[in-house]
Amino acid sequence: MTKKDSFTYSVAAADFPIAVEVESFDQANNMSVISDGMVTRPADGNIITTFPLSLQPVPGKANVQGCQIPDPSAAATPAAARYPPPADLNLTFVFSFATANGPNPKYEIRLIPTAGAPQVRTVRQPNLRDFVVFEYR
Amino acid sequence: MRKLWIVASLGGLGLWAQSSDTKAAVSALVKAGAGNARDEAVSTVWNSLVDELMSGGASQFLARRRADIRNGASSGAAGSTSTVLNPLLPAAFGFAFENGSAVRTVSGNTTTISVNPAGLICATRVGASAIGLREEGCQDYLRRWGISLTFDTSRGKNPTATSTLKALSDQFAEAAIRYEVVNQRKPGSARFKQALHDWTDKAKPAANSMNRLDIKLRPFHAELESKLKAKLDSFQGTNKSDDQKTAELLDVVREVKGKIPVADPDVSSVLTEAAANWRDLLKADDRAYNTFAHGWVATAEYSLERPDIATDAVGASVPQGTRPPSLHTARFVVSRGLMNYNLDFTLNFSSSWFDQKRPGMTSLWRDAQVAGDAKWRLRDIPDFGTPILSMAGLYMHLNQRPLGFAIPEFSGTKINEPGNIGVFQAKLELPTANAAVRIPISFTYANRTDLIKESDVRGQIGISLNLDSVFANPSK
Repeated sequence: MTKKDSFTYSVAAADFPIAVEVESFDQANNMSVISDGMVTRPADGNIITTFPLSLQPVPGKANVQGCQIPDPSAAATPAAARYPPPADLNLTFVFSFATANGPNPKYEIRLIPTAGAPQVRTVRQPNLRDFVVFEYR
Repeated sequence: MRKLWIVASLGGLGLWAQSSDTKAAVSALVKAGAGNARDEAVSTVWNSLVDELMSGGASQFLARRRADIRNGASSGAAGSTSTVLNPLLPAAFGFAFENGSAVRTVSGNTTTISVNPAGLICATRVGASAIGLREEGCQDYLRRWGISLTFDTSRGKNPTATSTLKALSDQFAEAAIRYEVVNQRKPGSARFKQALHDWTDKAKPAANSMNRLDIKLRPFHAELESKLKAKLDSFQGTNKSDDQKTAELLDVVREVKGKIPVADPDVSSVLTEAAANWRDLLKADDRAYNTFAHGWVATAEYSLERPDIATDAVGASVPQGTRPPSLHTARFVVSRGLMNYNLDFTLNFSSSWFDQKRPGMTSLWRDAQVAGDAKWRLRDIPDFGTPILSMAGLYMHLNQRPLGFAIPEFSGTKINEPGNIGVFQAKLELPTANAAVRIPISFTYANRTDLIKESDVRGQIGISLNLDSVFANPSK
């Protein structure tokens, strides 16, 4: 997984499945939600498939919620989450800072590929959302 | 608050007025370092631009800092900036330094240490952080108990103009123990769980519609980023001021925003849906915040107060060096905010008893008090936090002499009479760059003080430190 710009990452088949973790800091509650995975065709930006994603508490990690983006080429992957390259997987995270309880409330999004180093994104107020694109080639 | 970009037609020219949030976001971008900090700042600029496209439907940020933590001494202390005590103690540890009294004749300088012993123990857990200190799952019952100790550092110096009183050198002034009877202002409360559930219900559709909008606008997002970064690079080696750089970057934002075809049905339909869902989410967000910050809190407190002066001999009834009897105070503090306003109310009810009945005293009961305040969390000061303005009133009925026995005069004034005391206080709590430190400044009018039956106007100032954050995991 390679970062291209502030919101785009190049990914390859070997990067899947990709684990996503969202950790809250200086807040009483982790109030984060991920959109469904929306896959677009690079040529025209039209959505070709959508599949559900949901952040769930990660056992043993306080204040962390996570999910896994399935391998789009694996046979076991649900049909809606299977797509061939080239494709762009678009995600939007939504956050709340309603329970800010310390001096530096923030969220950290960790994008953890199966191979390679994780990518880390930080979201602070006034931002309440974050847009991420995986360019699968 | 994000405002609309206002398009004004004047003589056929379109003049753009940009929101203060976009300017703030661009200004932050100018100051951001390279790498992730710059990327984060670019994202803020983009989000601000999209918020404006959604007709300002985005961040109606309430000022979100706690205003319900007690750090200082009670109103009866010689050094206190508070007429009304807040309901909660720091989750682990807090300090306050205050000067100036609310109802006492003799002002002092107090240092108050507030501790939640179980909270301190929980803070030592591996991986514990400040955020965890008010969560459930660690000594939940014991963490409802807190203690505070107040020391009057000016003792031994005051009073200065008396022939019959002398200051005690013992600086211990007050000890208090308190118990949270009810606390809805934590994530474990049923009320907050319901608000969280409502927020989650709104968040998913908002995330999906914002995702569709971001997909639709992605070429403009990429163009904005590319042009902003190119412009930032062009500043290298120049001696342009930050204001000049901000103005040039705002021109870039304006240029890209002007290219977005908001009237195109393909874009406008997605934009309309996203704006509606985003507004619903923000309303749910505010409800969650208000539930968290404005729920019921009720705290019971017992305190022991040691007097700060002793007497020289007064006739035959008061031997030389007699210290007035200590005071026991029972206090009940209750708070509740308005769910749809940035306003929190606190009421204090208390009564005090002497621990000894001396000759001339009618009973042990000294006084009864009722006090209340309204606190407004004001608009955030960027990079500092939220100032809090409060208006408070206190009524005290002194059932008998304030020190428990007669003292003929103080500073040449007849003193020491039972009666009623009324106090009005206006207080502003200023934040600092580190939200753990706050500076309360207050002005107090009293129709009389405890020893002297004359009206009194005073200023008080302090500094309070909620040190919960020092327990945060350094890696965070």
